[in-house]
Amino acid sequence: MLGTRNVQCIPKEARQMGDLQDYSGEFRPETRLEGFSKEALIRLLDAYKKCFVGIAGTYHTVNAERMGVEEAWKVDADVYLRQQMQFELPLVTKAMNIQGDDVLTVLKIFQMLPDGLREGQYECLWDIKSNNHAILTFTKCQTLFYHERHGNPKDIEGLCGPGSIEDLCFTAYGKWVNPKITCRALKLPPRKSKDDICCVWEWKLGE
Amino acid sequence: MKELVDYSGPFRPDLTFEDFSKEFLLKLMRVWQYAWLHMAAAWFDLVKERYGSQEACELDRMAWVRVGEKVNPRYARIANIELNTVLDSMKCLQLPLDNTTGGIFPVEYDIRDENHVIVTIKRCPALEDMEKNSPELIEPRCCVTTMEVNKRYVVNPRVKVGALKLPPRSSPAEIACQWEYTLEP
Repeated sequence: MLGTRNVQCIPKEARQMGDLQDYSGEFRPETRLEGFSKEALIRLLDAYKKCFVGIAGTYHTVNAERMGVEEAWKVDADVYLRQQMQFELPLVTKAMNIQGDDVLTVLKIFQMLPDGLREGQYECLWDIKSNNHAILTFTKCQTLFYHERHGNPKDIEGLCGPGSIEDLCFTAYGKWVNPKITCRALKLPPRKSKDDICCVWEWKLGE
Repeated sequence: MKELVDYSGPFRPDLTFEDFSKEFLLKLMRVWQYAWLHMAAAWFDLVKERYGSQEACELDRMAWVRVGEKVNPRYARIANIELNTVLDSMKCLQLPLDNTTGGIFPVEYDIRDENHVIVTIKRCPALEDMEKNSPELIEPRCCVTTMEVNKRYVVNPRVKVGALKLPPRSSPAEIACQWEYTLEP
């Protein structure tokens, strides 16, 4: 193993050897994600989704310390919308071969985003009325829980209120799939108690 | 149930990652990696537009340092990496979303021994973009922020990070940067 190793020069077959269950073994300069087992990749994806939300939260915290909470949320929303429109939505859709222009297509994309719906992080109940009408009741939102613990009411407003980052992003998901899809909040924080649901959103294909 | 090779089929409310093939998961991971880098770039650009380069560099540095401290230890935990040697820390550098394994940052390792490694980053898209569009950002981002961030990304505080070569470069044929990792006694 000692000596100089140029990862790009190692044959593809050698790089894909074996299905590592974790990375407790020796350092492999030629490691590729392909070399890990499916179970290990799922653990890594789980870490990635937390990290993705982690970088967003950290940027927000750092920005809010310098420019104030309201301005930091404006920057967040601007960043999210630019990044999603330019990279996340087209790339995820293409990589996953997701096609269609109805509300269920929006929900499929939502499941695949790094900061999308996922057990333990953002959980919801699905009320699928039809391919073109769905209501999602969010029962778990780690970002809301964080701001309930640490933030001030302006943080919750900036995250979930009317015109907030969630409002803008959820609407943008729908419009990206089909400009006729609308999104509206049926219930928003603040919550009365910790047993309360987080929020309810409706996506609908208009006439 | 047969593994899904893409998500062109019907919507599944009860979907889990286990439902997909390994190849599909790899594709998804690459997209997430790309999205991560671009989200960070979007934040930097937005703050720069509103508050100027100096403030953007400072906030960027602070954010990445905090991310490195809070987030990167997760990789060691989920991959079951014991952090004893420099090579163990090299393993941690291979796993994050902005990792050295995905081809975005092609690297060359010169492994002198398990506690002395020199890493050469041969190409860096971020540097290439700054060389073209904003050379004034090279010094604060490559020499200040990256140094501080690398110290966190190795996860083990005993691993000493030193820069052997940093931008600016005199030509695009040169390597992007070179780092030396050693273990403090």
